[in-house]
Amino acid sequence: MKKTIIVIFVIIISYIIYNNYKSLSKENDIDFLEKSLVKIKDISLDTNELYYFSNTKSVALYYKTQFALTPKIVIKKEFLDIPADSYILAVFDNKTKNKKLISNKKISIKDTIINVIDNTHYQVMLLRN
Amino acid sequence: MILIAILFSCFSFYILLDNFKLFNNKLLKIVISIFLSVSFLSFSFSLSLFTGMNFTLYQILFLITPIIYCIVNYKYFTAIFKKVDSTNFKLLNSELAIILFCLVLFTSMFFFNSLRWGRWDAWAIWSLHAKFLYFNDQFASLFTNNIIWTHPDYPLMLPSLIASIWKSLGIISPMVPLFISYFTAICLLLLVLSSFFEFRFKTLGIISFIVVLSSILLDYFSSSQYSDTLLSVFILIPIVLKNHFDKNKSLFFLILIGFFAATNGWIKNEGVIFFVIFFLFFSFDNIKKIKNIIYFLLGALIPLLFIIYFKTHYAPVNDLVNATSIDSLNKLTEINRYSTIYDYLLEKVIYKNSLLIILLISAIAIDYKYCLTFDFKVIISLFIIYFLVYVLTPHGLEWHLRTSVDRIIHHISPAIIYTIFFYFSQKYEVIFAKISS
Repeated sequence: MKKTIIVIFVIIISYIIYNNYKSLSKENDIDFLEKSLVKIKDISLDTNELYYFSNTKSVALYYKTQFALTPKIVIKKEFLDIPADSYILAVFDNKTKNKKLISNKKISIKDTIINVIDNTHYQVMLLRN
Repeated sequence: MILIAILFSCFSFYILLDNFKLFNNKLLKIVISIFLSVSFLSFSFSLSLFTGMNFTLYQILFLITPIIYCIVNYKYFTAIFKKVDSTNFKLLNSELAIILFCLVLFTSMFFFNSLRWGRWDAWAIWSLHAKFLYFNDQFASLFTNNIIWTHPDYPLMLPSLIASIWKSLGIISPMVPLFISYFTAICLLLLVLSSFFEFRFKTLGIISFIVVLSSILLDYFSSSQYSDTLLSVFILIPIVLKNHFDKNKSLFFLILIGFFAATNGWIKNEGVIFFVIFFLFFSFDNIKKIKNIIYFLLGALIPLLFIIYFKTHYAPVNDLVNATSIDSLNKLTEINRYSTIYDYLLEKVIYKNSLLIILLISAIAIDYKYCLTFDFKVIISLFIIYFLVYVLTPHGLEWHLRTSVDRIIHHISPAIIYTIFFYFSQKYEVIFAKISS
C-alpha cells in the first residue's frame, strides 16, 4: 500500500512540475532583452563598462539590461559625468511612446558601433561619445 | 556532472553521520546530508573561483572525492539502500498519505506562484550575482560600486550554487534557481518533520509540518527565488541540532552546529548577526565546558574563513554600514520611528502571520519558561537586532520596512514554530509519546 501511495505521489508531482514547466518556459521581458543585446554582449571591447541611456525612466529596464549583459558592467550616469571615448548603450523600449533618449544634456555621438533593430520589443545601439 | 557529484556528496555525508551515530531517522540524515553537500559545493566552487582553478578540474575533484569516500566505505554505502530500520519507527499509510498530500499541495502552490527568473530581487541580485560567477575569469567585476544597487557585498551561497550548476550544464537556465528554491523549501518542511520523528513524536511532527506549511507563506517566499528561505533553513538547522545534542552528547554534533550556524553568514549579511548571537548564547551556556566551545568553533572555522576572506578581499562595504554614522545614533531617541516600525510589524506580523502569533502567545501563556529557553533567547535577540537596524537605518524607514519586514519575519518564523512544538514535546514527553505510539 505504501508503495502505491508513493507512486501516486510521484505521478502527481511530476504532472504538476511538467504542467508548470511549460508555462515557465515561455520567454519574458528578460529573455527578449537578452536576445536584443546578444550581439553587444559578444562584441569584444577595450573595456567592460558601458554607460546606459534609455527612452524610459524604468529602473527595471536598466537592471534587466545589466542582467542580460553580465559580465559587462552597465553604468547609469549623467552624460556630462561620462569620460570621453566611453561606450554608450542606448536601449529603446518599443512599448514607450517617447522615442528619444532621456538625458539632462544632449548626447553627442562620435560613432555608432552596433544598431540592433527589433521592432517587437527593443531596439539597442552601442555608441561611442 | 555537478548534480552527480552532489548525489555522491550526499551519500558520503550520510555515511559520515551514520558512522558517528548522530541520528536514527533516515529522513533527518538525508536532509542534513543534503545541506552539508550544498554548503560544501558552495564553499568549494567559491574557492575554485578565488584561486582561478579550471572548472573541469574542479568538477572532477568535486566528483571524485565523495566517490572515493563511498568506495572506501562500501559496506556502509550499500547499507544506505537496505530497508533496515533498527528503530522500529513506521508511518501508518494514512500518515504517509497526509504528508505526501501536503507536499503535493505545496508543490502546486509553489509553481503557481513562480515566475520565470523569479521576482525582482531574484534576477536583480541573486541570479545576477550567479551570472557573474558563471564567467569565472570575470567574476570579480561584480564587486564594484558602479552597480551598488545589486548589493555586491551580499554573500555568495545562493549565487555560487546557481552558477556551479549552470556551468556544469553549460547553460544559463531560469529553471536552476527555481528548482533550488523548490528543494530548499521541501527540505525545510522535511527537516521539521524528521526532527520530531527522530524523537518518535510522529503526530506532533506531522502537526508542526502542517503548521509550518500553512502559516508562514512558505510557498510565496520560496517561489520568489530569494535567499530568505535558505537563510530560514540554516537558522533552523543549528537549533534543531542543538536540541538533538542535548539528548545525544556526541561532540561531532558541536562541529555540525558550529558549521551550520556560521554558514548563515555565507547566505546573507543577517546570517552573520545570527551567528554572533548564537555563539554568544552558546558560549554562555557552555562557559564551564570550554571543550564544547572549541568544537563549536572548529565547525565554524571553514565558513568563517570564507566569509572573512570574501568580505576583506572582494565585497564592497555594506550600504547600511557605510551610511551609518555616529549621528545615526540620534535616531534612537526619535519616538516616531518606533511607532512606524511598530505599525508595520503589527500589519505584517499580526495580520499576515496570525497563526504564528497565536501560537507564540499561547505558548508563553501556557508556560512562560519557554521564553527562558536557549532557542527563544537566540530568536528574540535576532528579532531585537533587526528592530534596531530599522531604528538606525540610513535609508528611508518606510521604504526599508516595506521592502524587508516580511522577509525578516520569514527568517525566524520556521524556527519559532519548531521551537514551540519542541519545547512542549519535551515538557509533555509522556503524553506525546503515547499519542504517537
